[in-house]
Amino acid sequence: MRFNPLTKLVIIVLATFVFLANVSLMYEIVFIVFLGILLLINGDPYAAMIYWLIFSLLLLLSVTVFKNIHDTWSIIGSFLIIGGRRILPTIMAATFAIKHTHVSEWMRSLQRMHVPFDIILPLVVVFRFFPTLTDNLKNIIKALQFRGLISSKLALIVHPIRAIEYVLIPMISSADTVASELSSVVITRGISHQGIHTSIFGDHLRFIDYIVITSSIFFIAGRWLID
Amino acid sequence: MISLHKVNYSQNKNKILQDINLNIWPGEVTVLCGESGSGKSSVLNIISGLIPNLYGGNVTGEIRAHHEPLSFDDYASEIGMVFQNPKSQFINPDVYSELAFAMENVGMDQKTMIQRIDNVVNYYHAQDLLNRAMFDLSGGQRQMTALMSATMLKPPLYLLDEPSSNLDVTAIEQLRRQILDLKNEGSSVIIADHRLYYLIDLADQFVVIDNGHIKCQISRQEMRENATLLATKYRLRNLTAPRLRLTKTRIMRNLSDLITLEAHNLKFRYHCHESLIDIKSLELSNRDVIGISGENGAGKSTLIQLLTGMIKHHEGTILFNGQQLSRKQLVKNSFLVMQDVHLQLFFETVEKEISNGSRLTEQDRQLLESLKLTKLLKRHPQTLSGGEKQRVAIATALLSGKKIIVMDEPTSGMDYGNMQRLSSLIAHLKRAEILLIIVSHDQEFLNMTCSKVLIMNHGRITTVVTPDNMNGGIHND
Amino acid sequence: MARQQSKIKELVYIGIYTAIYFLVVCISTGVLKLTVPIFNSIMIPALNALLAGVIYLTVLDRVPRFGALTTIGIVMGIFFLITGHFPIAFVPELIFSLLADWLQHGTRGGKTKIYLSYTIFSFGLTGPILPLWFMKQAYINELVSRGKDQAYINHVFAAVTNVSFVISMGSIVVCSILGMWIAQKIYDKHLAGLRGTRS
Repeated sequence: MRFNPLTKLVIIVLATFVFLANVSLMYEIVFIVFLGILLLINGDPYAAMIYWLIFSLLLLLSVTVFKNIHDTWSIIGSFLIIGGRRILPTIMAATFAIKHTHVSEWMRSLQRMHVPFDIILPLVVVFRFFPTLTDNLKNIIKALQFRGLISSKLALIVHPIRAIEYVLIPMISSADTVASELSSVVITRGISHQGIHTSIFGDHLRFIDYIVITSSIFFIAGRWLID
Repeated sequence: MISLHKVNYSQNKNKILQDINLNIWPGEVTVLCGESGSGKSSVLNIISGLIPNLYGGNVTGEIRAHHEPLSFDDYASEIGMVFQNPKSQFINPDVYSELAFAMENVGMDQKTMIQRIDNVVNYYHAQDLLNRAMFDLSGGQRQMTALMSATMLKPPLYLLDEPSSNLDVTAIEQLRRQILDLKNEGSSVIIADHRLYYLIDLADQFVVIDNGHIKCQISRQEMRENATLLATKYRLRNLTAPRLRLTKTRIMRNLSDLITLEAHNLKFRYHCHESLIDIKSLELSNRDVIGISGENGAGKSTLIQLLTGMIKHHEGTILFNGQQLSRKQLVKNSFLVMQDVHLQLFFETVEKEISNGSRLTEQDRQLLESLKLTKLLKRHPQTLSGGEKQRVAIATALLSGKKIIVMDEPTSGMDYGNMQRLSSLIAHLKRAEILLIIVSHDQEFLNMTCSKVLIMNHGRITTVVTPDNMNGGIHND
Repeated sequence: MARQQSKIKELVYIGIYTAIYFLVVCISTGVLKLTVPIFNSIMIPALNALLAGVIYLTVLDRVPRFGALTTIGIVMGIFFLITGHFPIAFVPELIFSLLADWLQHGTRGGKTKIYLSYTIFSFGLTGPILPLWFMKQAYINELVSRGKDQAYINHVFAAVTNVSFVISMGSIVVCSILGMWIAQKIYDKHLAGLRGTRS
């Protein structure tokens, strides 16, 4: 089932709220279950299971191995475990947000929230161009190996500054061509068209969206009333 | 429908177009031909308005559409454009979104959009493309998607800039059919291309552009009757479909400069992909300039990565001059000239790039002279043209003593003149003590360059073509 | 219309540079993850500042007007928001990029100004490390709930947090200045020469 990007943003904000607020363990568990269910409905049962498993593991560790905090190691360890448990909801919310939402849906939602065109267009370009860049990075590393300029990928870490010169100069100097080509495509496909843009995936809120948004309100209210 | 009257275009005092007069009628296909740099793309960009609005420069003269001065307020619904480079022709990550993009931008309602996509996809039998990621498509599939997205708003005018330059024969045939459909629907189509064979039966007029001027306009009738004559007169090439017909012969070599590369029972598989290399026996030597061809996904790039040691093979042996080398040693002996050659140039001058810091010997300088690089030594490599960058990359390989040089699609985005120059450069290079392997789908280029071509299909070598054995050639349907 | 098209090209440029900047952020994060086992995230802004200067200079050169840096900051922020790095990461991105933008384009000054504005811009990336601070709060709460006394907790945290805060913030300043110095060298070596040939 598909969720509206607005709903996904609400969940991200809610997860941040829960992260910042001081909530009880019971609340935490309920919330993790809730996010997992959202992931299930969103079509990522695998991710939901993994997150539930991680949470249980962290919970288990914090009541067993790190029950007593006395020396430096247990302080660092328990800090990481408690912190990890804490940040898990925001990671789950992020997974929920990224998966199964198209760029065009985000664009449409951001436009509805009156985010200006000057922000939306660069954002679209980032989404479009980032995969190309990672591809370029792989090719540059290959080229460096053929040239004997590095012996392995690890050599890049040893000389980060030289590495950055090798990696960034070809990328930056090809930006001019890419910018011209992408601008032409963007213009000829009418992105500068004034007025409302629509999304092929629709942008109305469905029943499921209302349910999720309402439950989010309950979660926030519940923090004060029950917890 | 569209008329250009006494149009001139200049940029930084360079006169790019002069006195262009041109009429485009509804339902007609106009082909702009001429060598690269003749100004044929500029004519397209002036009609589209990208010149001067995006590319700058100074345009004078009159451009009218429907007897009215052209206004470009509503691009997407007036003009469908397809550009040359399939890699940078899309904005969305998947085909479905890409097709919808132009319609979304004019604010069409969801129902109409879905309906239109449905129609277009059925029309072009592209159902299997619909849910694919753009990055996974071949050049031909991307170009097809680009043309389909250009049709979504049913514009009356289409402008296609070198649409065939990165396509193989099958994809060009598909393109031809798509253009024919547009013509039959009554749209005007203007195409700038150096390949003409697929347009002969399609075009209503051919406009030959040379050095910024219109040299002549040829009607369809004239072209049919006097094709050969006109071709010679106006230096038009590619009037017939290319076939794999190798013209180069093998190179005589002494045993002392012989380089061999063999692979036996070579197998490779990505973790969970089905992409697979399965080669029983492969024997290559520098008696040939070797071409590797085959459809996208046939395993060409995987094979060359295996042969150059970039990735590790799972089974089998690779022998270099009869010896089994470690992967590192293979990498040390080989060099890949990439398609995006700018990604393999790292230094601030060509000289440093080539010498890697050491001094150039007299012999090195002779080599650079033969690669026509001497004048470019002080330039920054990234400021060079595509062909020049390729030559710099080749020079770095030769000067560092590489024995195997592989070129991956070296002619992509290249016009005919540069393609010929590259071919004669390779003819010159093959005298050196190196083994040259060229991966390309460009049959014309393979014809004039290679003496042996391996055709790959599903990770296997299905056919080996040599000058004497033509009947094994490519099946193009 | 003509103006709008050249503006579109500028926006596309900004998008491309943001993507490259983001790639450097990813590389910095990856490198630190591989080399420093824990609490590596506090060093991300500093390492990134060391590496990304040349992109900053390119942006100033290619889109030399107020708004470019802010747009990059906001786009990065939204990217953090959508990819859920940490929603509050949006705030420092916005504030620091706006400040850097204003300093760079709204005030007079020579070459040293670039060092200052770049340092400020680099602080934009402190957003993703904010969670650590909140994690500390959560941890303290947990300790309290287990009945540890306040003095003990303070003792545990006083040194750790202050030192790491100073290290983290100080390293951003140092690395920004150093990174900009390196970037100027790389820029003069490569990109200054490229500029003349651009049309």
